[in-house]
Amino acid sequence: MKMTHTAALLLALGFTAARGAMAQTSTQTVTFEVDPINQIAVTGTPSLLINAASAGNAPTSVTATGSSWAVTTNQSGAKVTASIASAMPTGVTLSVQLGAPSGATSAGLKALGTTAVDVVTGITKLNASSLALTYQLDATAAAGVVSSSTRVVTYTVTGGV
Amino acid sequence: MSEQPGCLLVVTRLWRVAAAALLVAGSRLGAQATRLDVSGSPGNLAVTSAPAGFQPAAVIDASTQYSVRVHGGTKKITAELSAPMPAGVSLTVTLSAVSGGTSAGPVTLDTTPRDVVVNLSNGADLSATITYQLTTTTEAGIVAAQSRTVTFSLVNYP
Repeated sequence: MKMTHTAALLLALGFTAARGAMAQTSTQTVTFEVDPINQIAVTGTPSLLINAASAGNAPTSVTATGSSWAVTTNQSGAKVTASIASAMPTGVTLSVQLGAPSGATSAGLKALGTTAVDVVTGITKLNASSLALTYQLDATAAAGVVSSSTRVVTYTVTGGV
Repeated sequence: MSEQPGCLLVVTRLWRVAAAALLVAGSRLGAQATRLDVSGSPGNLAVTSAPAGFQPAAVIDASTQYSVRVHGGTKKITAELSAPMPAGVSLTVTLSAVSGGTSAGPVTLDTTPRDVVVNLSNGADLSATITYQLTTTTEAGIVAAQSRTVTFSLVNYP
């Protein structure tokens, strides 16, 4: 019996040492995540000049096309808001209209102020670029002559859920 | 120690000699054995940004390595996941080639073993980089942190 035990032990050790000749495996643990992503970009530096009117009417509004915007979000129900850093002169209105990406809704032409306004809503899990971006400048006759001025328009995309 | 009959003593000694010989042979074989090891696990792969208008930016980790030693015929390395990735999320792995082997390049991982290095011939210990890339789409949405086990296997080739 003692002989059998000894032999079995040595055989087991031998086979253990030889086990390296068999198929080998090795493992790694990969941890991953995707965080909320909301990115917006605009292109173009539009210039708007009012310099005409039809007699008897307010000065003729002007529009600036050629700008565009792009968005990426991996959330549902995201929206884009727009605002300007300082108020427009009295009687002068700067408005903006953003084309909506697929499945979203444009608010149409919206007057800009220092309080952010929704310009596109319902943006859900998409990436889109070269979307239309149009500015419009209106002025009343009472506004008088307004010297050249600039405003920075800030667009913000905020995630839904 | 109790006395044993002569023939039994001889048989006992023969067993011991045979077993010892097997142990030595096994140890030598083990020292030369085919072997596959990896150097730990990669860091957390977190997708956090995207250029506006484009899909989220992929993230890459190339911080780990594998080492392999082949004896007894041509081998290949396969890789597989413990569970499928979430919809819209893709994990690829690239094992850079070691001398005597051929990398399959970036391989998208799933629960089926996929060849990542093939045609590995007999040789000494060799090491090379493991590169992971995590890609996702906007449609995948937010994905909470989770893990998958990647199992690399060294098997006969082809």
